[in-house]
Amino acid sequence: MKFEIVKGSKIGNIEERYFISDRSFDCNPAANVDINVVMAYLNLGVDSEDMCVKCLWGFSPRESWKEVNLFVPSAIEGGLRLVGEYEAGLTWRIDKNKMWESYFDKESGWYCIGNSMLEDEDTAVKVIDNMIAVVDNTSELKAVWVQPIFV
Amino acid sequence: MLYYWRYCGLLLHFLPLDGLRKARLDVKGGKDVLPNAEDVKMSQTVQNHMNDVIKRGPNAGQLSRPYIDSDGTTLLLKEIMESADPVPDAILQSGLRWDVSGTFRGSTGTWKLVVDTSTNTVVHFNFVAR
Repeated sequence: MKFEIVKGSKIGNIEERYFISDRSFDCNPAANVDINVVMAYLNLGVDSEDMCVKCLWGFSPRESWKEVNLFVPSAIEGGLRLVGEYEAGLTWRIDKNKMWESYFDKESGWYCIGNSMLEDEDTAVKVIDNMIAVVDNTSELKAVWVQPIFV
Repeated sequence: MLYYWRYCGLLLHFLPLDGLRKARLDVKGGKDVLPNAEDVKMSQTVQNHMNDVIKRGPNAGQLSRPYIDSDGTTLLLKEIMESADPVPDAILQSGLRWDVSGTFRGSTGTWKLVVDTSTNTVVHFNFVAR
């Protein structure tokens, strides 16, 4: 699955939250999404009107997070657009071969799912104030970073 | 034999059910701990996006994930649970996971269901297109 970065403004007035009792992520206020790109049990929600990622939502129990020191990538502000023909109302898996792992830095409060190691040719884009997506030089999604509000 | 589930004009089917198997898991002292579809509840996570609406394409105006909360949801869960043996979940220690081939909106793929047996709660429920 290919993604392209749309330079410009991130999505305003929206934040990612982690719901402790439900062990899940979602954004606040809620966003309507009709295409989902799934990694582990998390969904990157896409709006088919502009094909841009609007939120990260889904189940992610903290006991599955590996505690590490994370180095948060510096990111440009913008959007992340799913490239290609994907029928709205369906879900596609991005981590087909091996389920992506989750990492958490309890000092900084940053969570990362996917490959947390940034390489020179990767590009990081801040799509929401507390959410960053990393795309590699082949336009494949490499990781999603969130510094959620814990509620 | 094919099993069909109809919801708002959507036709879903499972391929094929060779009799309804009742899986037994050798966990917790060998006792059956399989949840019943009639008894499980949906987590808030699963319900969060159940009212999302499709904006574009042939299914515009329909719910994006109609299978989460409908008259047919319990039947769908039952069919998934009876179509395959669950496996211990890789992420959730108290989780059981079902992966069942099927179709949805004309696409073939896999129904993914994860139930937290400690709370009898569905924590992940999705159809992933191939």
